[in-house]
Amino acid sequence: MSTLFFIFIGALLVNNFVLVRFLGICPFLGVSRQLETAVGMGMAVTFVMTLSGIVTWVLQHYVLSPFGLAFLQTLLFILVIASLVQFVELFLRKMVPVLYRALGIFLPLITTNCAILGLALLVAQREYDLIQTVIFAVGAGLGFTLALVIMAGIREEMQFAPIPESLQGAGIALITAGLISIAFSGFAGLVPM
Amino acid sequence: MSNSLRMVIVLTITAMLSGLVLSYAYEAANTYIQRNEEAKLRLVILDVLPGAETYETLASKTQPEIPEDDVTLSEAPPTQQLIPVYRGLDKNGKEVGLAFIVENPGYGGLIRFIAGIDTRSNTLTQIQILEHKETPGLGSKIADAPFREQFSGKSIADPFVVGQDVDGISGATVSSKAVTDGLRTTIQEVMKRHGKRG
Amino acid sequence: MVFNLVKDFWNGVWDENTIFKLQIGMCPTLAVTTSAQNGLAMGLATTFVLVCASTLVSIVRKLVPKEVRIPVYIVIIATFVTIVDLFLKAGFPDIHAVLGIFIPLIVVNCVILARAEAFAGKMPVHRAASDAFGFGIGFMVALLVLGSIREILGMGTWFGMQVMPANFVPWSIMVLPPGAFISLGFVVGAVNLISRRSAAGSRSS
Repeated sequence: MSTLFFIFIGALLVNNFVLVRFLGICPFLGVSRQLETAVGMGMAVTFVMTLSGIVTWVLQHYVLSPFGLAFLQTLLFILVIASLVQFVELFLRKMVPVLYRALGIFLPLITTNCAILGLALLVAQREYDLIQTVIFAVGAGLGFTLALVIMAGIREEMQFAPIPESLQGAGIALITAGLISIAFSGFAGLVPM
Repeated sequence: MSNSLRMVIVLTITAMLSGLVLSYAYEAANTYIQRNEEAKLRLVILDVLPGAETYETLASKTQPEIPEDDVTLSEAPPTQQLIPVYRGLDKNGKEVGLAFIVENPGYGGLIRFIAGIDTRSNTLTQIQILEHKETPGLGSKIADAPFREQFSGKSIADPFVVGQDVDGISGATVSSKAVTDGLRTTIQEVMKRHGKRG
Repeated sequence: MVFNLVKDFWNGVWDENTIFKLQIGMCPTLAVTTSAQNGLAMGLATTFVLVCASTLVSIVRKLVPKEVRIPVYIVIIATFVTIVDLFLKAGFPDIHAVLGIFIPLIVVNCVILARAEAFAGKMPVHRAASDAFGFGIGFMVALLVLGSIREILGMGTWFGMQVMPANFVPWSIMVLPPGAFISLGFVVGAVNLISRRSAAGSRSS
C-alpha cells in the first residue's frame, strides 16, 4: 500500500513530469495562458495518459517481452497512442458529448505530447505492475495539471506586469517555470524512491 | 474501393519494411551492446580486485535486511534477490578477493556500486559508484575520491556507520548512509556465503 | 537553385529556429542540456532523424495516399529513432545512458513531424533534405549553447575541461531542473533582443 502511495506522490510532486522531468513542456508553455483551458488540457492529458498507460502495459507484457521484440517498443507505443487518441475522440463525440465539448479541442494536441509516450516508456523501464502503472499515470497526469494550473494562475496575473519587451511571451514564462521548479525541488526526498 | 485498398497496401508495406529494417538493425547492434556490457563489467571487477587476472561469477542469494530505524520501508515485502558475486583469481588461479555489486536506494533513486574485498587480509580494496541519481553537487559527491577512498583498506569487520568510522558528506546524509548501510549488509551476506570458513 | 537551398537551410537555423523562435521541441532541450556534450549528442541524434525522415518522406511523397500520410510519417520517424537508439547503445553506451528515455522521445519531437508535414511532403528531395538539415543544425546549436551555459556556470567546465578559475564556486542550480528553465528563458530573451536590434537596424538604414 505504502509503495503505491509513494509512487503517486513521487509522480505528482517530487518528480513532477513537467517541472522536474521536463515532459510535456510544449502544452505547458502553449496552453497555460488561461486557468480554464489549463484545467481542460490537464484533465484530457490525465485521461489519455491513464488509458495509454494501461494499453501499453498490456502490450509490453503480452507482446513485446514474451517475443523478445523490445526494439519495436518506440514504434509500437507511438502508433498505439496515436490511434488511441483518435479512438477516444470518436468515442467521446458519439457517446459523451458533454465531456467531448470540454476536452475535445485538446485531444489532437495530445499525440505529440511527450508526457504520454514518456510515461509508457518509464513504466516499461521500471517494470511496474498494472496497479502501480495506473497509480503512476494518474499521479503524473494530476502533476501535469497542477503545474499547468499554477502556471496559468501566475500568467493571468502577469498580463499587467511591466515585463521587458524581449522577455515577453516565452522568455518570462520559462523564467517563471524555473522559479516554480525551485519551489518544487523542496519536495525532493519527501518519499523514499 | 481502389483507394482504400491502396491505403491498406501502403500501410502494410510501410509497417513490414520498418519491421524488417529494425530487426536487421537490432541484430547488428545487439552483439556490440552485449560486448559493451561485458567489457564494462570486466573492467570494473578487475579494477576493484588488484592482482586479479581473471574472475569467475558466483551467484549469491541475499535477503536485503530492513534497517530498523527505517519505518517507511517496513511494509515492503522482503524480496529474494540474486546478486552476483565475482571471485577474482591471480595468474596461478589462486583467489585474491571477491567483488560484488550493491544496490541501495538513496535520496534521488537507486545507488549501484561495486565493492571489492581482499580475502587474504579481509579488508576492502575499494568501492566504485556505477550508477546514482543523487543531487548534483551534494549527494553526487559519493562518487568522488574523498568519500570513496576512505573505504579502501578498511577491515570488513568495521561497523560502517556514518559519523563513527565513516565521514559522511555534509548536506547529504541520506546518500552517505545509503552507501554504508548497503555495504555493511551486503558484506555480511557475501562473507557468510563465500568467505573462507574457519 | 543553390540560392534556394541556402535559403531553406538558413530558414531553419535562424529565421524559424525551433527553440529560439518557435519554442517547439522544448522537452529534450531542457532535459538533456546539463552539459555541452550531452546537448551536442542530442542535437546530432535529432538532426540525423530529421534529415533521414524528411528525405524519405519526400521520396515516397507521391506513393502515399493523402489520408494515411500521418501514420506513414510516424512509422518512418519511429524507425529512424530506433536505429539511432540502437546505434548509440552499441557505439556510445555512456551517452546512451545519460540521454535515457529522451532518445525514444525524439519520435514526439514536434519539429520532425512538422517538417515532414509542412515541407518534405510537398517538396523535391534536395530541398526537403536541406530544409531538414537547417532545422537540425538550428536545434543542435540551441542545445549546444544552452548546454555550454549550464555546464560552464553549473560545473565550471566546458566539454569536461576546466574553464573557470579555480576559486569559482559552481552554481549547482544551473545543472538542476530550475536552472534549465531559467537559463533558456534568458537565452530566448537575448535572441529576441538581437533579432529586434537587427530588424530595427535594417529598417533604419
